[in-house]
Amino acid sequence: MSEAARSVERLPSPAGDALISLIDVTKRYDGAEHPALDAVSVAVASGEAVAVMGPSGSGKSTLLNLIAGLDRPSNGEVIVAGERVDRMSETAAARFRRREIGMIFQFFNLLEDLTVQDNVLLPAQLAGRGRSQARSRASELLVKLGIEQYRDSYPGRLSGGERQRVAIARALVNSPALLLADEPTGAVDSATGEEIGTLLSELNQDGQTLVLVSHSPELATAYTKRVVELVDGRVANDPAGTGARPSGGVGP
Amino acid sequence: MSAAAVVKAASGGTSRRLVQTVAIFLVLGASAAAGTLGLTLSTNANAQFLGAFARQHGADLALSIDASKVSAADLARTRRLPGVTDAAGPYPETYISLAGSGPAASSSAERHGPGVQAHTAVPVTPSTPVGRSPQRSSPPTQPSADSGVSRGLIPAGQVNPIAEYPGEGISVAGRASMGGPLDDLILLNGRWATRPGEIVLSHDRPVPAEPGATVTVTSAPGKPKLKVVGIATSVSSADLAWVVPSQLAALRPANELALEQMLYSFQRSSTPQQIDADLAELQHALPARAVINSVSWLETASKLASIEDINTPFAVAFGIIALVLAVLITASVAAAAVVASYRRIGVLKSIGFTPAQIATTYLVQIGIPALAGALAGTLLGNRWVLPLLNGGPGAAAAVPLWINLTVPLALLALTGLAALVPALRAARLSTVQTIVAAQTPRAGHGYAAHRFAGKLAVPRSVSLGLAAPFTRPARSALTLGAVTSGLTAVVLAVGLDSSIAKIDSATTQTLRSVLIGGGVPPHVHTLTSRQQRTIVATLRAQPETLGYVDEADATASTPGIGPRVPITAFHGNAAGLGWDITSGNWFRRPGQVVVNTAQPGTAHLTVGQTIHMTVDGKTLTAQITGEVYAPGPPPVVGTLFTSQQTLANAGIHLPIIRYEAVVMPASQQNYQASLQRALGPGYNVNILSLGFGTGQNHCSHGVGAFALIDTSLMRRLTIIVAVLAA
Repeated sequence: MSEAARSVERLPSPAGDALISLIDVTKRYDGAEHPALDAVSVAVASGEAVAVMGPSGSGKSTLLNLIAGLDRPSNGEVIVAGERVDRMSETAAARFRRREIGMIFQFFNLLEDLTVQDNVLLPAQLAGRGRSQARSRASELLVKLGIEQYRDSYPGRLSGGERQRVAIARALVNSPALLLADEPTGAVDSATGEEIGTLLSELNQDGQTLVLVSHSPELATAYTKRVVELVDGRVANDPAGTGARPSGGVGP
Repeated sequence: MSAAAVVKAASGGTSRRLVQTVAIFLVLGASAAAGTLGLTLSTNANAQFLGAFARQHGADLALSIDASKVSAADLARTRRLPGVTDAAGPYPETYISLAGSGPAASSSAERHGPGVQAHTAVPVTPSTPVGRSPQRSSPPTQPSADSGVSRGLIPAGQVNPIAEYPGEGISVAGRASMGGPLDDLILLNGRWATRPGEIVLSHDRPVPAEPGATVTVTSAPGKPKLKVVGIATSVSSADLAWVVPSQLAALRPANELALEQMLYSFQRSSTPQQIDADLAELQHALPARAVINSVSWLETASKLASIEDINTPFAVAFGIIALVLAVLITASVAAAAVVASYRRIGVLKSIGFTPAQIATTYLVQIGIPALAGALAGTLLGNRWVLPLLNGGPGAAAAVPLWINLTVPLALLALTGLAALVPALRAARLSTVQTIVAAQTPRAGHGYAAHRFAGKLAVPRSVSLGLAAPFTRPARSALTLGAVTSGLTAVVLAVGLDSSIAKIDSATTQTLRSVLIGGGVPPHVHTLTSRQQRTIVATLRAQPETLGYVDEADATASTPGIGPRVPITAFHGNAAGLGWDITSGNWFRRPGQVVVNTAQPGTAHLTVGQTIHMTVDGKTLTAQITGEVYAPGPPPVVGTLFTSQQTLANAGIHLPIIRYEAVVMPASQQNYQASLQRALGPGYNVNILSLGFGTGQNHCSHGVGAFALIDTSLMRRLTIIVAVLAA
């Protein structure tokens, strides 16, 4: 997308300085009886750490996918960093993701055939960063996350916690405005989970906006300041109150 | 830098899916090799020869002239004839027998180079049977046509300058230098002969001697020894060796005709008729019966074209099959790679790969091994095809640049197209679906098949397997196509290989025949009545003799085959000689012929067809009753076989030049010796050796056309097919 087009799509945040604004978002999958998300409205401010909780099938991952532009809502608006993600083409959404969003998955989703360093470098190369700049940034992150000794190792040789750290480094290499974490501790033991949680918390304290999807109330409450609870695709509880609407959510 | 990310992701995928990467590499390599072979052979029929002919100023016609009948003025006059544009010579010429004795003997597996006329295959030791050398018949001493000249054959009663007996006779010319207004020789190794005692051999030399070796001229008085100083190639003369002119007289056998070789080029020489007219003009300008032998460039080109024509259809067929397989297999592998990489695609998309970059990643992933395979295959194709082009080094044989560019580029383009569909599908995949759903098949495919299979009375595992192809019908169709094509190719390859083996076996069999001629090679005469009686009596007296026939040779102008078609005419039960009939039957009565389909111009002939022949100005017709496949250079091996009565019925009475006896198994060697002893001097007894080299052991003869189908090529192509099918 051109800069001009991007500026056209960059909108004033309906929630003031909100980095993320979901306005009346509904997502209905083909053939599904009930929508995955039903008229959800949520706003996340820049620098905020928000946990999204809820039972299986409540729509947590769908919410995350919509924010990342990996999926499109059936209705409503998804605005991230001032851009209408819901209106973006696939290509524009991909470019947006590489620029503004870092993603962490439960099962790490590293490329097993690339070394740790190459995994981390890949998004930077994709974003067109200079070779030395990208390597410098990758090294900085590997050191910061304590995995620099695995620079030339392949992910398959690392522990779950180490892999997740690599995934976090990869998510952060382009200094995204937003870090989305989908069950980041779901595939590691509790001690490692605590390490990951602490790490994410530290990143947030450094100013990184974080949206964390988790089953774990302990993780959610320990490492984020706000927990949004989803039930059956609706916001059941949101301390910020921007979207909490027991009967379908409240508009901003 | 984003391109680097795509290449990085693609190379990661390439190494991750090593088996598929290797498969693509092999498939493209095999296809490129087969494509290079096929395209080069199909487009290069005589290009190498014509190129060499032009570069080396090839002569349109090479004449062997009886020096006793012409003067220098006679020869000089021929240079000024209206149609003659250039001439070279006279070069003194004779025919010798060589035995190699030097230490530098090497493999004789060299091929015939463009333009090299080899009328004989001469092993080192004359007494050794040449089991895989393409001799068939004994000397074609031939009654003259009214003109007194018979191309490639000589008038009756004269000394035959070209001995076809195993182990005998090669032409040697005296030339002071390699250059000349015509027929520039190319020195391939060593140096040119500068003094008596030295000899330069043709690269198609019958004696496997390298520079530094010593050869013995066994046919010359005193059996002089010559040092091989060089290896050269000619594009238009029949010579297989060269010495300085002053050496030649010492090499001429006692009582042998002194010959002069003259080379000519003409204003018009592109058709046999024009060559005939040119020859007639020369004959007219020279004393009667002075011209002993002639070789035209058309004959050389025809032989080479026939050799390449044999290979071309096979190579083209394999090339096409390989190409189809490459496309099918590439598409199948690419589709499999996409299906197996759902999660990877999702990950790539999640970190910012655009759909175009995803598609590019998969194209590059296929393209890396494809490029490597195409380049390696093209190189391999070059390596394989060069020997088939008959390109000696002097001919600078090379695969044209456009083929070396077209083959890999076309393959890469086709491969890219084949991989594009799955690559685009990868690009269109939903990120969420690929990450979350991973390998879950799409709904709606194959449900009916699953339901139907579920009702069959077979184990559930079998019914699931039966329905599985319908889940991904396009990919199943691709696999089916690839397997079908592979099987087709394998059947073709195996069938072809077994056919070649059968023909090879048939033609390399140790025929139980012995040839009996008059005179001592290379000086073979028409048999006199007394000689015939002596031979018959001696044959009958030998207990191992199972039967015999007498034979005569003729040359016919046969529309649709050629202007000088060699005929072998038998008297007696020739069907018992052991010719392996590949189609139809041996002739049973006059008016019938058997055609040797190994010879040029016969490919279109079929059993039952009637052909017209003109021999000595008399025309006759005959019906083809059978086909044999007996490779060998005409006229050494005849093109048509018939009874002498066929010709006699048209008023053509041929002199007998040899007998052929069928002997009891395993008694040839003793039989030959005892028969030779019984007949005494003045006769020659030779074991008939029929066949051709196969595989790497190509006969030195070169024009043994089938040798050049060479089973090594077929084996290579079979390997290609096997790889593709796998």
